[in-house]
Amino acid sequence: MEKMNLKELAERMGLELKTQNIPIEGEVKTGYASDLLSDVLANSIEGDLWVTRQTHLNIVAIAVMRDLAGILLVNGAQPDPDTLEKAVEKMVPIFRTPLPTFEVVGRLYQLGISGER
Amino acid sequence: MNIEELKKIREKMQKEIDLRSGEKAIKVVIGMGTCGIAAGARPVMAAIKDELSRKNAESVTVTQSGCAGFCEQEPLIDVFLPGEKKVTYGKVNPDKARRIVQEHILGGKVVNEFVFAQEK
Amino acid sequence: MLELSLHILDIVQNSLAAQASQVEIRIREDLGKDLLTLEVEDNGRGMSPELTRRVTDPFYTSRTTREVGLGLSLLKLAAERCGGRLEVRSQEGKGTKISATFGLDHFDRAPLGDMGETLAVLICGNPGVNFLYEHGVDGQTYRLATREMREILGPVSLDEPSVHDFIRQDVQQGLKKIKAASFPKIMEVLR
Repeated sequence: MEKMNLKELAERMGLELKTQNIPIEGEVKTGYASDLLSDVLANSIEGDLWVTRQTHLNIVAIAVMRDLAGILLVNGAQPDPDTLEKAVEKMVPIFRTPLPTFEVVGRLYQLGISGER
Repeated sequence: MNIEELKKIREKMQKEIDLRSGEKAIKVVIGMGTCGIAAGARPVMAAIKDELSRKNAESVTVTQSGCAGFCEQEPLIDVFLPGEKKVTYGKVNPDKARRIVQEHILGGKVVNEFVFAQEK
Repeated sequence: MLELSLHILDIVQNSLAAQASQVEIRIREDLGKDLLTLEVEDNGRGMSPELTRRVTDPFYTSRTTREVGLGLSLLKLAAERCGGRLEVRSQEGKGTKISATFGLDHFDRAPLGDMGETLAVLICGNPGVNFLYEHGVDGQTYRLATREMREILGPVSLDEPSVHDFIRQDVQQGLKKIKAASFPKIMEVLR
């Protein structure tokens, strides 16, 4: 499976980049989809791309705590202003798509992003 | 509560109200059942009130209703213009809501592409 | 729901459907006990013991009554998900009181969200109903009461757009002043 970084993935899938001026060339191999913060805390792994519709500041905290590759907001969800600010400060890339979770995860999977733990 | 701010509003509005003429003839009802709220009815209501306020529309009443039983079409809004049959718009979002205010509520022309149902 | 303020908007619809003329919404944050308490009390027509017992059963409410919908079962789930619980007390002819507790800093506790917008929608959409909102954080309280608003507004109706904006901003500023916790604190990492 070809290696893909976040930037390439975003371009392939037409994801909207919300955080500006922070590196997005990190490699991404796996993903996790959940809207329960406790669940992500318990079951995500380092380097996961996190797919969620939660938009509040704590998603950045979780991403930092778990060393996630970035956050993909679905259903057109917009990050709260302070979420965006903190994400840039902590260098957590946030993307956005109008697609719902199921569809977006299916497409990510087809591009080689695995959910395996 | 900021009492001073509220007093200012009274002063400002009192003059405007004295100049107003008739009744509020146009009615907009926004579905505020669980499905409606989950689908985004609150920002739709905010958008409608904001658009009406921007256009200084005086004759429109905006109220809420419960679940209509068409959850997949939420957010739903009903528009009642005097002398006309009820028009129900479905899958409304703030942008669509503003168009509905401009074109139908204030402009009198139904926005057909957003209509879910119309009373015959 | 993604926000507690949306749960509140939902629950209060039940009070309005029960013809309440008075709705009191109280939120208390107790930092020491890691507890957020939410109460919604109305003077509507109340519920029979049978309905009170089954009102959080989504299979019961979604089939037999549209007036009390899924809102309470969703709120129950939201509370239990973060170590809390839901209590429903009601008396026919008197009214209903909903009490929900949440772990204040539990990761899954839904953020408070835009209480200002919820209150503006409730108050301006139902100008004939009296609302009281009290939010306390360890001793400091923010309070908004339509009775007091009516006294000041005089002939100006609560459903005026400028009143909608006032409510939204007053609540936002008031809650900021008492440092209401919008969402659980995952503090260290965010410093």
